[in-house]
Amino acid sequence: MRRINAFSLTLKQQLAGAAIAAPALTVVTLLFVYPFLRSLQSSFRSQEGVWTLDNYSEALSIYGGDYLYTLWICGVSLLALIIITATIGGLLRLGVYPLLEFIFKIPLFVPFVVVGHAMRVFLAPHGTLNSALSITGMFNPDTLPSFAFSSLGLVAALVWKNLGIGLLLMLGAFRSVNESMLEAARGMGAGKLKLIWHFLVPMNKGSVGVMAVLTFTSMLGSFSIPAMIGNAGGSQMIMMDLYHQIVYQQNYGVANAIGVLTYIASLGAAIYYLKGVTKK
Amino acid sequence: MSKPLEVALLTAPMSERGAWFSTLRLTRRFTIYAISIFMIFGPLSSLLLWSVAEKWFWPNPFPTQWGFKYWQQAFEGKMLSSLGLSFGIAIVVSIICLVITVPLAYVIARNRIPLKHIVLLIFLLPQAFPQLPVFSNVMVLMYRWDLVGTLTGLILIHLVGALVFSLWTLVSVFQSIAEPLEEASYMLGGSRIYTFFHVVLPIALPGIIASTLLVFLYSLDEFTGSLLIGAPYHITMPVFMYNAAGGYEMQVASVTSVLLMIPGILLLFLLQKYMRSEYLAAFGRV
Amino acid sequence: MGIYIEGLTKAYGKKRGITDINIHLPEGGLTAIVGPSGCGKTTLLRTLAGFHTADEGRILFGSRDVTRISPQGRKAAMVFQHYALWPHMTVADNVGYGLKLQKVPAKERERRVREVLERVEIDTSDIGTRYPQHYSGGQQQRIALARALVVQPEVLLLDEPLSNLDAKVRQRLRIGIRSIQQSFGITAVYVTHDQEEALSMADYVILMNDGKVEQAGTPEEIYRKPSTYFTAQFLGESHTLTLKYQGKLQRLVLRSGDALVTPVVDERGTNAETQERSIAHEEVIEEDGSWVMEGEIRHHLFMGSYYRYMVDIQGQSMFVDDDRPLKPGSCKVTIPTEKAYWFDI
Repeated sequence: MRRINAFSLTLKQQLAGAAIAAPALTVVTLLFVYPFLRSLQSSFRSQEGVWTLDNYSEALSIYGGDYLYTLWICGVSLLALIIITATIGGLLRLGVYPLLEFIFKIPLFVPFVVVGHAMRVFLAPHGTLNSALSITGMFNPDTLPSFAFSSLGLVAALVWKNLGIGLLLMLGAFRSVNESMLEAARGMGAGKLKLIWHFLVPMNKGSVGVMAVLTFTSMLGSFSIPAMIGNAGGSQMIMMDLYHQIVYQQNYGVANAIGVLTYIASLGAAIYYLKGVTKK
Repeated sequence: MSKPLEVALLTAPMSERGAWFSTLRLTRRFTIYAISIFMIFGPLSSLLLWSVAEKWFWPNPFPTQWGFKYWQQAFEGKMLSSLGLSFGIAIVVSIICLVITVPLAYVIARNRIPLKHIVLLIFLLPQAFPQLPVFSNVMVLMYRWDLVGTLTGLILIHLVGALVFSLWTLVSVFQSIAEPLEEASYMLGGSRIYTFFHVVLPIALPGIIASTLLVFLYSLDEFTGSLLIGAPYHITMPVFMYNAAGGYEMQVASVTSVLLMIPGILLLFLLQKYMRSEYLAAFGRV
Repeated sequence: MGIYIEGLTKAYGKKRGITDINIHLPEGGLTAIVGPSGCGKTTLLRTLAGFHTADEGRILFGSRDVTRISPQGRKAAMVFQHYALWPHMTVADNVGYGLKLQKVPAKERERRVREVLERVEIDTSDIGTRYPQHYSGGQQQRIALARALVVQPEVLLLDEPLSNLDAKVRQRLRIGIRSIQQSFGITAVYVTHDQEEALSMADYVILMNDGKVEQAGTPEEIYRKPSTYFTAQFLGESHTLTLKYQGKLQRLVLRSGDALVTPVVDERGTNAETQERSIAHEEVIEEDGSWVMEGEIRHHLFMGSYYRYMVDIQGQSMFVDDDRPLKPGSCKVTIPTEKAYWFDI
């Protein structure tokens, strides 16, 4: 903290700070912020370089359905995720289930692509789930539905992968709730489920919100999972359409239009989160 | 609980009631554990099964022929080079991340950077927005800079997404180190640099290790960027697996999956101490 | 020698800083800086330490101007409220840290570390293997003190060192720190919010209020000759009464232990009823070198070796201590004039 005079100290410190921040900031600015802005720009330009909204109208007309489908899948997955993690989180908060926490941390450490493949293999028409069910003899093997290449497979994979982070966030929030508040509720006869849904979750709306935003945007932008699970015709997850436009059509205009539409959805979630944080 | 059961329970004599409750409790415990284990291990075990299945015909519940044939095949084939590549890249990315984020995180934690919230937010962007659209545009840029299909390009694209894990974790680690610990050193004659290496770093070490492991895992699993930038010259494990699954080589894909899971499971055990849910209660509210 | 502070000013953003501090701290003495929270005492100490750079003014340690020198170069050592002992180093390494920086050879370092730890009464048998966490709060603070003293600083700075400890430990350590400071003969600056601590330990007391020095002097001086109302009511167990004297309303500050209470008894020897007054009850009168007021004993607290009476004087209450058991009722409260401090409103 050697000071020569007040002015050079600030300047020297500022330069040092800038030098320390430079490498990391350059990487992100150059390789994310800049391309991000370019994608915005590119979405408004046609193949010839003219400013236009055609990309958007094309994207919406071809992929409007897929866009809605993606939002729908992510919404359903998020709901399922919240229900499962709140229940498990609540149980872990209210009781002792030694191995449970460990079990649910496993999805954190399994790569996205592996989850996709595992779900496919698990839920395929001739997959292990159906094999297991057929062992029990309760089901006729040939009539078992094929989950893998369908919406349910996507939802299952998306929910599964996010169980780890979801539970961690929920549990973290639940554990910060004062025991005496729960005891008061228990004293009035609230059972475990009531405690979770009438007390723990409402008391932690902020954390639930953060978790919801983080996982929704992650699911929305998910590429590896739809890539692995795919879909036998019918609606696709929007990222697959984007990939198709880039690799097979080389149409960056439309691809970026699709991208911008997903940014908007993610942004909505991010704004909600920031509002929540700045309210504090 | 249904009404008749409730009534039956409440009117039963105390000793019976006690037995009822504990059976109920046990059943509930058992059900919860059973469902959870099924949910988590079901899909994973099928991977394991597939990796050792040599012949498997529908509708048999288990493979008709077991063996490590596909493991052998995988190791003799191109998978080995992908495996080496993935690990190599992950190590390099982890080291670079460490070098460029540790000083920055310290400076942010000690409030010596203006607009620190904006700076932190910028690093969050690669995880907040869908990566595919942005990385596609990165690909266009990298074409111009001759980086597509190179190791440098691959490392850079991994770095973009990894920085946030390192930075945000380290900022909270450094923030947890009380400033008087450093001030005491200054008073005794220690310079800022000396204090950083002798006081701050040793105390921050567990957190630094945790964040490095997070980055390592992220790089190992990175798919989108690797597909766009690395392929087809440098194929990382996730891309290799994607190709294998696309070609309906289920067993090879499963073998690859199992291999990809191993570092993850190891890390899970190592990080059991650090990934306490309490630490994450404030996640996102730096 | 000693410490000279001239015109020292440090603004501190939203928090109040310090303004135009001009004081001389005696060499080899313990100076306490005391005041309510937000008064600037910590800012002053940290500016002395070098963690803040003054906006204006000078700081001299003896004849050395240290105003623009970094903390590393001031030859001052600091003891912190939460000890700030490094958890990853043994006690020996903690205390020897400063010596290592001074490039003192290992053998001599070890000797000096042991010596100073013995002076603060820490057992030195396993300091090379034990870590600070294994010691109690009081022991940790003594180790922190040893760490500061072993480098033979010119000035010792202490930032509320006992605030984190419980009452009994605090009492013992006050004496411990004071005797160590005296035996080393080191100039010490001791910040505390506890006025009792300041008065009992210091050679010189600086009372701060709202960023300025309210009054400075020896403990006896500022206790017995408070120059302002703030000083009078801050020190000791004080009460402020707003009373009329010769027609004028003024503030009277007095201390529980200085006042005397005398029950007013009637011919039958029992306490007179509240209605009967001999003195115009709104006035305070001077009688035989004491101020006399009329009041009424309302409640009492049994304190063990004495009683504490809550006395009501013209609707204001105060405490008066006495070892006799007295009944509620009319009374007279007297206080020697030199122990009563009058201030204009």
